[in-house]
Amino acid sequence: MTGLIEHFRRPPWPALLGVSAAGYVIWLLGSIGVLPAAVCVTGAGGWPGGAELWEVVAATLTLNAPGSLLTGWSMMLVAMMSPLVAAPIVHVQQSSLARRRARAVAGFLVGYSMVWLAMGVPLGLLALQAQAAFGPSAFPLAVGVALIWSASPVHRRLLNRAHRSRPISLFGMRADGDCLVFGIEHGLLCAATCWAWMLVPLLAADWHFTAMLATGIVLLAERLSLPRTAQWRMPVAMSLALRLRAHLFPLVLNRRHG
Amino acid sequence: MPVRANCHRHFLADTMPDGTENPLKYYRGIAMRDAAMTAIKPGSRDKFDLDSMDEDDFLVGNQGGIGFGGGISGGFIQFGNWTGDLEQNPHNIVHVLVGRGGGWIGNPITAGVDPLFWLHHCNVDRLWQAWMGAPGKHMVNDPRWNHGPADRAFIMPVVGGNKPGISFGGQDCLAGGLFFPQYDDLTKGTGVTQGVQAVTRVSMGPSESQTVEVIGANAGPVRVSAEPAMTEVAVDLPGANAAVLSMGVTEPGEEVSRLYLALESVKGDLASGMLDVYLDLPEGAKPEEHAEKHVGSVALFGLNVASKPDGPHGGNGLSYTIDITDQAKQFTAAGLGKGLLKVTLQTRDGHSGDATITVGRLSLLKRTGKVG
Ligand SMILES: [Cu+2]
Repeated sequence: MTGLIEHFRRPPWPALLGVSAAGYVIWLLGSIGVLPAAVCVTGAGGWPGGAELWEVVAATLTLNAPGSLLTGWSMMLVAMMSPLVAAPIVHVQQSSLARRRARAVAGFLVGYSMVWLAMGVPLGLLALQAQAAFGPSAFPLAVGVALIWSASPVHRRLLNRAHRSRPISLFGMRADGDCLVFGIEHGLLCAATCWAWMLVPLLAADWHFTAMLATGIVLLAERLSLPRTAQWRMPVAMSLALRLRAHLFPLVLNRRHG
Repeated sequence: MPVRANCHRHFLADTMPDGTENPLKYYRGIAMRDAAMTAIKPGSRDKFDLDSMDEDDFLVGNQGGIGFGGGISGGFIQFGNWTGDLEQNPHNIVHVLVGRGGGWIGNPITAGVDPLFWLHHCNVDRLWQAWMGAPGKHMVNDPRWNHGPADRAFIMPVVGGNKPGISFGGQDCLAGGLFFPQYDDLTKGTGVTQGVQAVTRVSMGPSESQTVEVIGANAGPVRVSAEPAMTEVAVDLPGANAAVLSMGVTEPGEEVSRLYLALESVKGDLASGMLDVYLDLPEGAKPEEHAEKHVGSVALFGLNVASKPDGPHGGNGLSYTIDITDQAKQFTAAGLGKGLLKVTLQTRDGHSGDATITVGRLSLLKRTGKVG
């Protein structure tokens, strides 16, 4: 635990956790109408059964201005993804000339965000379709899919690949290019790893914020788990829940036994 | 400082204290006396020494790329895998030199079943203790080290072999810990004297206020197989000139710097091996004929494990730094001033074959502090 704190108190963690927290707060303010941001990609009550996908998409775009959909999705990304990029940011900083560090990080972030912003379209469509097809059962179904996905060897292999670094050039255009390409590459691996969990908050309706926060923590725990052999394993989300329970229950038991 | 390749008497005795036969007497079927002498034959470039004891800081920089103790491990460090000074030499070098005849100690997967492993690691612990007891050394009080390592668990088998054994971490081997031994002597063969400051190096101030920055890099990954490979490190001139100016500074409070050559993300299938590093070798020259251009060797112990895509290092391999401050004068003339540093890499005889070693990037690091 103290080791964990030791890591979190070193740069770039405080800054990234701060940005993440700001993302959550802005999203929350948007959802209660204080700020003009979109609440959720899907309608709160679910769509009537049998609706065609295009009808749902049309309705969503009518009810929510595309601009506010984009803001909502961006804030979700800022809140959930900021802590995930700590290690690549350190890599990019340390690989670059001191006077180019900020620029290198910016290049990485542009590449990384491009991928995730674009991912909003397929993920949004997938969420709408799931909502249309399964109605209220879409949310528990999404949690189930995410748990199975994160237990799978494919997921582990992708997660291991997301721990792979790339040499960054030191000078000129090549340096900028390398940072951008590393951002895109890392973003693609990140999206390929996290897509299933990202559907969970999108389908959580009234519980969107809670689901977003919980999913953000799960994704961070997955990212911080050590690379290991790709095989069926207990999902990180579940071992995290068990560990939390183990931390909480001994206290309760001790109290009971005086 | 040379290390004598002598063998501990417990490995040479015919019998145990109770009169039974000594199981440590033989090593891979040969009498230990002969095995130890044939196995450890340091060559001219092996640099099997205690130079690491001159380092004052346990950990410098965000991930420990430079320092006596070296890199932080675990899930938070996804792209680092830096090797510390003590870990590199003598720790890795001994693993590689002793294991190069095929001994278990040469492969991290089997090293723990080699009786010499325990002798070797006890000595590494002893060197650590001796280092901490010498004045001017900055040991960290960092839970990431005390409770480490984060990427694997250490288990001490119990007599009889009953599971689960005793789990332990770094803290348990330090003073006050479960496995902390009483040392009779921490001076003999350690390169430092307890309580006596050796003025081998200018202090660079507190570890946390020192900075590490890259001031040069080559263009891309280098592959080394049986033939030596040459690459050019392009140097950022403003950074290099500033480094050259502050390299020999001894005035208290003034900026002082050291230069390091970093081998980042070294990968390969070998369990262990050696990579020799030369600076400014003339075109077409045979590296082994130019000892004066040899700036260091890295012992690639555990390269196979660190290079596995689904292993605990995520397939990023291992990273090393070589202190080249002392050779600075030589290469100021040789190209630092021109902004180009020629580096030649060669795998050591007997380890090359058709195996290939890849170095992801070669870079020049500048470490800066204030004379303390
Ligand atoms: Cu070892």
